[in-house]
Amino acid sequence: MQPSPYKKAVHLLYVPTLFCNMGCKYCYLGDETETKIDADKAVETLRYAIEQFTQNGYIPFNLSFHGGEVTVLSSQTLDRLFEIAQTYYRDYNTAIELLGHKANPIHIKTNLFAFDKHYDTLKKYRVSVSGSVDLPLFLHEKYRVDKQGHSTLQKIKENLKLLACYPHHKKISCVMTREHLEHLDAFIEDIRTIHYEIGLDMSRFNIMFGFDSIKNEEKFGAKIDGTQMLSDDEQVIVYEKLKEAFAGTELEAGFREHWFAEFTPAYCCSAVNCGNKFFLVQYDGEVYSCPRGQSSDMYRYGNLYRDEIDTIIANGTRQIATNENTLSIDESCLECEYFSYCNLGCTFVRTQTNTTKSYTCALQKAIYRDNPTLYPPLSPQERDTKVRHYLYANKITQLHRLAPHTQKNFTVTEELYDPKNTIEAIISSDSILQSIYSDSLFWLEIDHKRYQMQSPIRKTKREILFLEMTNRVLLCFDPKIFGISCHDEVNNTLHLMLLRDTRVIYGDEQRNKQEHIFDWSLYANSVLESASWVDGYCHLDITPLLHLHRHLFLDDVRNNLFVTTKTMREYHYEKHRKNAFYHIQAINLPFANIEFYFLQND
Amino acid sequence: MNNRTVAFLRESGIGSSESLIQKVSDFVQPNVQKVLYRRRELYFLHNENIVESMRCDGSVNAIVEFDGNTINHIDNSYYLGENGRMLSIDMLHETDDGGESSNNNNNNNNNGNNGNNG
Repeated sequence: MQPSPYKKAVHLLYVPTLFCNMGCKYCYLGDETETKIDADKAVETLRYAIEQFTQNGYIPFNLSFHGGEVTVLSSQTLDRLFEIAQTYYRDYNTAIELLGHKANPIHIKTNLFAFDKHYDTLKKYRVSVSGSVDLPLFLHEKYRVDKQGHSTLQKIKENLKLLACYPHHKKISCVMTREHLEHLDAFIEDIRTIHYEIGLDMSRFNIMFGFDSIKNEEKFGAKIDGTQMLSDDEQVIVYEKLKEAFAGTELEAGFREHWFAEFTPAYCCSAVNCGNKFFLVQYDGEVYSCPRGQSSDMYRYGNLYRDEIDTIIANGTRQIATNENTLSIDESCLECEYFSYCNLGCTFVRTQTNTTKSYTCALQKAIYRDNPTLYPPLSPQERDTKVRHYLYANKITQLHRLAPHTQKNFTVTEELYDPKNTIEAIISSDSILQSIYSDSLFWLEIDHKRYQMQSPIRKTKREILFLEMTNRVLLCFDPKIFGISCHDEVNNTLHLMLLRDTRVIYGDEQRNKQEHIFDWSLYANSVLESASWVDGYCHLDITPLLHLHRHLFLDDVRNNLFVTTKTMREYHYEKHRKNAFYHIQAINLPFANIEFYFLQND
Repeated sequence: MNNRTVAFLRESGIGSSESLIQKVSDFVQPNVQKVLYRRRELYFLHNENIVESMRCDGSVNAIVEFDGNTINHIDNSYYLGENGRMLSIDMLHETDDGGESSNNNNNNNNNGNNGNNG
């Protein structure tokens, strides 16, 4: 297990303001979008959040900005925010990659209303822009209005043209509700208009489906006619109609790869527990699951200014599991061949809509069926395993239905992971082991070139040599080795073990191990008499010993030479006997070694 | 009953307060009502249905159940079997995520812009 200075990678959304300059009729944030802007706090909190996350080992692999509406801030404030984000990505690019992620551009989600105002600032920081619009555009006019209820369409059309010319990542997304379905032909036509006439590449367009949220109903009194959520069967109608309309066009690849990507396993909605990875931080330090959860205390994880970051991160997983445990599960999901691609979908949406499975279930299945290479159906056994893990993580009331495993197949005591029981800690507290595992005790000199021998247990890089018949091989060491763990040096020996990578099975464990070729010991006085001396170190010519066994070397098989002394070897096995934590971590030979091929015909 | 409840809280690594001891003691009924500690949350169950839950920062990774009669420590391998093996080790390092894959790296803000789904 490779220790890492980082605990994990997280996805971080930053909300510098909750205020929004528009008054969209299906907004799930309700009156929260009236919250006053505090620009200085927005900048201070982003800086503090990055500091808190990174200093505690949580590395945002994605840092995106979301609202409210980000572009209601001044360009000067945006510049300060993007500068912090840019510096973060520059400083932590390597860490992000070490954690298995790719470096990202800074990203914002915007309603595009003030895009023109901030164009130069966004361009300066190469910000990736995702704009939200309604299609068909006449529904944008109806639903995506300003706070006074006036149309924003003309301004949005102008900014779409500007976005088309923007030189960095850009795309738009839309939310579909019942009325959008009723105008599907116009919807399709406007995709073409934006792509071909306005010139904005729609390959990376994203479609989202609105859902019935409690906050929205609180704000508008009741669901506004036309903004009701679509059933999943209606979503499939949208999907199939778009597939038919764009098959064979230059947008077909976009349809397949991007337009419905939110409903694939690549997105947070399909996580077993999204609280493990996704975090939203507001300008006031409040931490929530995501923009959806931002409207509910059930999805609040804490406050950066009041709570420890470790607690906030742990609260993510805990809170989502707690929420999941209040929700029922649709029995058909447990039999679904696509179970783990979906994991019941977004917890928040199920909470808000009182549903027991993903609100896009049928749509997801249509996507999976259309892409069987990407999403092969699970075998019953695979599905059952995934279901078990899901229920274990999220549904304590369902655990009784799982047939228990009453005996462990495998067990390792947790104490093994106690820092005091690591091989490093055990060696550090034992001076004899420090010698046995020393990197400087033995080395080979082959035709005057030095090759250090190290314990294979701890080294992170293996050097494999090529020896030939003409090479002269000297084994070099400090003669003090005979005094290590020894009060009677005359009885100590230099001990060489040669193994060959032809496998044999032996021992009570029936381990598959390298085959022992020879053990060779020479008493200390004989060693000292046989060696030549250079600067106080012994140089023992082992070329004849290797040549004596040359018939046992195979050209295409690696050999493994270990060197120690009789007393160090005895000490190692005695430590094995006394300390189980040492035993399990030093189960293979720990002595200084070097691997080589012996090429007799070169 | 209170002594038993204190033992349960101890076994779960939950700090005990008088009010919590009383609340748990009043609730549990063998074979009918139990409390279950799981991942920093204490659930109150009546016939396998959750009637209440509350945050409790315990220190054990196992599920711990208490019905007033007995305390059960349940390892993840009890439910997950052999597949719980690696999870068991992972859990020691606080990555208790139900064994999910790490591919779901996008949310509906970044819309896949980060390209982190390798």
